[in-house]
Amino acid sequence: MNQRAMKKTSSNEYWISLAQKASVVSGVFSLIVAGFLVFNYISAQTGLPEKELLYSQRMAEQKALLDQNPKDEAVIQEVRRLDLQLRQTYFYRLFFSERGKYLLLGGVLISLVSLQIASALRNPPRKPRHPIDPALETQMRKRSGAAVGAMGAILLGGLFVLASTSRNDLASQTLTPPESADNATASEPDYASWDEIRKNWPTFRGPGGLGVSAFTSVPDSWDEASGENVLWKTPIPLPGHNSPIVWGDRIFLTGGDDTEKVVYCFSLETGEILWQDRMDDPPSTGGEEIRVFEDNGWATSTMACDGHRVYAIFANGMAAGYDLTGKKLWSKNLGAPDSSYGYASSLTAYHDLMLIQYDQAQAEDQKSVLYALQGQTGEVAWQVPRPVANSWTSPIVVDTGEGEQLITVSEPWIIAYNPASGEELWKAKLMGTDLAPSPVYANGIAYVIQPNDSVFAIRTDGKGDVTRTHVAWTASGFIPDICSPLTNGELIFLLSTYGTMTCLDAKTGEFVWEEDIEDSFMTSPSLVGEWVYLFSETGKLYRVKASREFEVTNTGSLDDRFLASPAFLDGKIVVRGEFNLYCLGRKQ
Amino acid sequence: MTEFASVLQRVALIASDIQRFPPPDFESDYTMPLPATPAPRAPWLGGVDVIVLFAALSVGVYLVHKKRSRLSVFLLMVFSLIYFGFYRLGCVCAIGSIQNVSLAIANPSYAIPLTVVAFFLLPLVFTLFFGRVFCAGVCPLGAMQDLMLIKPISIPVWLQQALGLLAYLYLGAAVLFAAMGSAFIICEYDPFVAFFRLNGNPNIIILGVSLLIIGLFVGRPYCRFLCPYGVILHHFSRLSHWRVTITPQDCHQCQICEEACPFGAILPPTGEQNGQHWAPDKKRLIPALILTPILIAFCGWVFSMAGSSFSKMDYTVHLAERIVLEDTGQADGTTDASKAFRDSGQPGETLIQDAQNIMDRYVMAGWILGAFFGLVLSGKMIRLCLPDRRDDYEADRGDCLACARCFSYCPQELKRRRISRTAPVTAGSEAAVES
Amino acid sequence: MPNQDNALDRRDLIKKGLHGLALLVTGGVSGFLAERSQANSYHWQIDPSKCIACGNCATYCVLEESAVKCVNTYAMCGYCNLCTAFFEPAPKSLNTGAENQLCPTGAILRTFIEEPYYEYKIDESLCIACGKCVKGCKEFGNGSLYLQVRHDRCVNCNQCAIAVACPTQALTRVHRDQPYLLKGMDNKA
Repeated sequence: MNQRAMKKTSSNEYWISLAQKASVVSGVFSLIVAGFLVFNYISAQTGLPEKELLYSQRMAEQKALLDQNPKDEAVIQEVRRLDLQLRQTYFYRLFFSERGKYLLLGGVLISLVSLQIASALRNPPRKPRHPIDPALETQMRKRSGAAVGAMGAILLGGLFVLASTSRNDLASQTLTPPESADNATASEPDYASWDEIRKNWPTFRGPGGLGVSAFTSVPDSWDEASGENVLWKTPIPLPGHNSPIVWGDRIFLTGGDDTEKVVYCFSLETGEILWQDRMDDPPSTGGEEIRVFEDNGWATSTMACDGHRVYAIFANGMAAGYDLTGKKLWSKNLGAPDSSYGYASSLTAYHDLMLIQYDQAQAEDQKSVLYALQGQTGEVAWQVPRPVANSWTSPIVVDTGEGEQLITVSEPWIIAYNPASGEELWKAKLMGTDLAPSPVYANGIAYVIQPNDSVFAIRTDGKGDVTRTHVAWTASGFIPDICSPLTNGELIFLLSTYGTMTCLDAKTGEFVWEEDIEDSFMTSPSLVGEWVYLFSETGKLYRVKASREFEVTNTGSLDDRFLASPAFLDGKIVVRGEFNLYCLGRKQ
Repeated sequence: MTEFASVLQRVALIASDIQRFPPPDFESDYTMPLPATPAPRAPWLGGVDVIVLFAALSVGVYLVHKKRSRLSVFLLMVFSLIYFGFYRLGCVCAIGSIQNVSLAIANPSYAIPLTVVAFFLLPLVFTLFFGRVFCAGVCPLGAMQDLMLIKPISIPVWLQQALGLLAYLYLGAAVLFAAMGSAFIICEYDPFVAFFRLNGNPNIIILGVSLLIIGLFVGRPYCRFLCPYGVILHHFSRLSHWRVTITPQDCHQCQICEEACPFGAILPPTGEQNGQHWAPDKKRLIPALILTPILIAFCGWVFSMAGSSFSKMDYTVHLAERIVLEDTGQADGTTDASKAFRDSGQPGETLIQDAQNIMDRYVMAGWILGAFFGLVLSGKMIRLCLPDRRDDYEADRGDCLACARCFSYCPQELKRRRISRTAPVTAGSEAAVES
Repeated sequence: MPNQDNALDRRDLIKKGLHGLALLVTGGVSGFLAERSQANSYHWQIDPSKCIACGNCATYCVLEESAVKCVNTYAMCGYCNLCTAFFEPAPKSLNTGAENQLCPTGAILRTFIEEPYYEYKIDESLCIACGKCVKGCKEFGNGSLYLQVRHDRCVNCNQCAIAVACPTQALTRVHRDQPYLLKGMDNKA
């Protein structure tokens, strides 16, 4: 080895040690930066401002304090201070980690490059030579073959374990024939069957909205003074004109005033409130206040039940769905209703859809919509615009034998829809303004009232515009203004608020009788067996024979005003007074 | 005004939204701003990427085959790491482009961007002529690992061969999931891309750091044992027109290059023993050949069994399974996905039907993937029984990553380039270069 | 020895043949791909009609500060005084105090326009794409606020990490010509 080589070696040594030192320094630097970054990362993991552990507890405490005392200036200041601190911390962390990463990258790169330089300068690794031996090659090949085989076996084994242990619920679904799978889903739809509905009172005026009781076991007389047949009486915290609905052992109704709107569930057995839920206030209306007519109030729309859920809507446009135990499934704002007296149409349900006749303003404003909300979620299942003005009638769902129809009455159109899809089936342009009475249906005919003017009987087997083709008959006379009609299929009974009751032949519209009852009525008549039950505004019960001969008895009296229609159950009547909820029935 | 009306009409078309509050009519002269829409990266920049790729490959070829300088290749590698890695953030890369190509072939409705096609094809063509120059100096993932390689240890050939199987499996799975349109697993589980972006999923970062730490001692573990693109390049490189030669002159069989190669790609001469090594190892070759169809069928069967497990990577299958679990009461509550699905009101039966169809396709695909794996397995076995002849220390054409390390150690090469390099003299070493 | 040479020749021939074959295959694949390819690149974007504002965009983006931001289509906005995207449920008062704001980073700027209207503008440098305001607007308002991938920030990964994490597959590949899916707008940039 000569001088040059020696020199070279020493200069190499020098560079190698320099590179090594550089790599150590930058390596240590990188480690420190990495440590900071990891610390930053871990604390940032809990550190989206709202999640931040240290502060969020304090923030939550402060916010709870604020809820108790919304005007406490000190607490407000503290919340603002914390908020600022949280956000500063968060963005500082972002900034820190961004810069830190570049520092780390630089440090690691320098360290690696110097290490590479050092190792490149260093001499190659040397090992004693081994002889070239074909036996080694053979041995290598044998070992490699075995190793490849073993690896293949390991991989296949792993896959086999994966295949045999992983649960496959879809594959097992394939094993069951599709028909039985269909049956399984069809046998348990997420809504009640018609048979169940008939045993309950799930909507305004009961099953189908017809005001007909399925039971004749209900009492025919009562007296609050003596307590006769009054099972219980419970005060209702908030006013409302909506009628009680009943499913199973639960009664549902709503109450509301200017400041709060509440959904109530009462026990049918005891009358105690099982649950209640205060509806959220709607968001801003862009400055426009919703106004309601004082006689209408905020809680006029009757709730609806599909057997699995109940639905409510208030005159401020807030709707909600609950399960029967009071768990709020969803709530939704449909927008401030533009209704001259306040929104009043009752809800109805079809399968698991909540149907809302959301009529607003004038027809030319194009603001009226028929919504079908998915009961489970409140999402819009379908919606159709309606060429009508605001109205206060409630829609009914009836089975015509050739399919179900959702019949709506508004100005100027009466429109029937397919309740599953919202497809328009037929319509008739017959109506004027200020509509309150809801339609009824029997034997292929829908009966619709133009207040103080006429009653129309429209055959429901039409298609498209049936104004000129399917009106079976019209009649006029003492036509009611608010109360809805009632029919037993043979006769139709009309009741005006001032107590004039008219009976017409349902098939022909022929006049049968007309009598005055000296009382005033806001509730719609109901049919129990062969008796028409009338609940007067003064708290009295009148029973009128549903026959071609007029016959009336006054057999009930309660100390309340009745503005809402009663619900008829097996052996019980639930009726809402202005202040109290009554359950009438024979005591055991 | 008509424009505004058309805007309103479009608004009304969005069914899920309810226009609860009408947009106001402003009395003041306020005008509604439009949402800002910053444009994506200009398309010509994609062309620049392709040009840079082509240039880097060409320069790599020159450096490996002509200049034969490790330092230059190293510098090219650093450049690629900076450009394709830290500047372009690792996307799109040739490795990931396999998936786009698979999807484009399987699904005619997917139009693959030209840039991606170029990224897929250029390295292949270059490899077919010049060996794995792409791996040496252009691939940012390779560069990253190469930089980390500080203290290489050699791992036994048999282990190398066995681990090599993983890459085939990865390739097969990547093509399968991409062709099915279910997932781009190469991208999803890319261990290094998080470093380029200086951010990523913590689990993937941990995987990447582990691979890099292994890479301190084991040369380029991802490239050699996992990279799916590497599998294709391996086979293309074996057929390459020009091979990477360690020494242009006579090999002195000094063994230095074998020690210097950190990737175990340089193998000793096979030696001669009455010409025996020329003959195939019939004792093992014949059973291997006979076993091949059985192995293919068996692997196909095992993979098809696992097909329904694979299908869980698919969104629809995953969702349908969740829905079924919820419906049958085996899972409580809902996930974001199942809740959104239920809210959408779509029928569950259709979803389950779709999912079952996808699952059936996965079972079919399992057969194909399994057959491929079986073929690879038996191919490797057969190859190990076939004769091979190496007269000198030679780089394995498939495994050689053209990193140019061996050049700077080969005494013959150094002699040719008139570079002297000192080395401690070991007994009988021919490597000590006397000048 | 001649035997061996023959063998060598044969191997060489096979290798050359395979080399040609590989070239052919590559050419075929490139031809096929050329037919299916297009110069127009793809970009990721959120379909607002599918988005449920779950918050994954904030955490799953490969960028530490997500490439997704909230966008307001002003033509749909009600300019409400009580904005349910801006205010917490049941706000104590309708002012911009931190105790009333829903946005965790205070990224929504509320500006008075005229009685009773307020403009709501997103400060993108502060927005973290958590989607809280989007939810508030969707559930109680007009749904004019929604999330969009901002292409000046997006690195356009081959496989978007948010798309993998999205529960409703709301992230789709869109054409470069139409890189935004804006609500109530003609979707051209």
